Amino acid sequence: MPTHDPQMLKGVLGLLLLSMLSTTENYGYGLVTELRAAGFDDLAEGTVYPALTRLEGAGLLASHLVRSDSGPARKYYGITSAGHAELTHRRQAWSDLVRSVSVATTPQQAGETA
Amino acid sequence: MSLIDRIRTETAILRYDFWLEMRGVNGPRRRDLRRELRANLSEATADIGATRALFGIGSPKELAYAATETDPSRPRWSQGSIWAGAVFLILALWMALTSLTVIQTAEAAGVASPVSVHPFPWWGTTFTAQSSPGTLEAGVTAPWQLIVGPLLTFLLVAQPWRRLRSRQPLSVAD
Repeated sequence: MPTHDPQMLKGVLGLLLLSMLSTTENYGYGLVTELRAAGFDDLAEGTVYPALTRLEGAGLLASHLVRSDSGPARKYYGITSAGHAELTHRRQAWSDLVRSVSVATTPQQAGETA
Repeated sequence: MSLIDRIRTETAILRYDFWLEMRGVNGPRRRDLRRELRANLSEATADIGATRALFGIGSPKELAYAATETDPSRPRWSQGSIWAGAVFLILALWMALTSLTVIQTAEAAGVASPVSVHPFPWWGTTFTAQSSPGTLEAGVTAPWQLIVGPLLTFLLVAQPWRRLRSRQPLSVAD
């Protein structure tokens, strides 16, 4: 089971949630199970639920209630147009970060350092 | 969901609601957040059991703080009331003890005529005592500290001026 640095995970959680919600609407626990299936086994619900609330508060997500046969009505989240713009921005920022980290952490050839 | 699991879940939701209230979150929004947590806990309990579901959300206090950290600032009326009540009780007890000390001092000194003092730090408040055989009278006039102290505490903790601050949604960093 892969483990993730909680601080790093917190930094990209918004990107993960916006990405997942860019294709289909989902609710809190549904997103937790999706993220766990994607390899984030150590992700706590207590991290995801507030993140959704904050993204909604910032206008990046919109929500509505949907009746559930198995219990209380679920609150489904979907991405807004502002959320799409933010997702594009965050994807670009993530790509830039990965590229820079890769350059900085790849051992240089002996010839290049000389 | 079993009765025990339901009680545990509702207890966690109540604690979450309490801390939301302490954060100054208004009624409709608290109801919305409570409903969402209840639905998520219900799904998680059916999937992995109540113990793991409740463990997953962590501390209801931290959950409430994390959920509202980018909320527009609101006055904290409940916290203000609690602290104002505590300050009132402390001041009332302190005033009663001061009054008792004045009576004991008057009695020990054997003063038969009425005694009137303004002890530190009760500026502007008069403590009176009269002790004579078969009679003991005591009184406090203008105990304005009992009103001003709690009122100041209420204002400083509740911070009603938070209502005047911008209600623009904040950007999120996560």
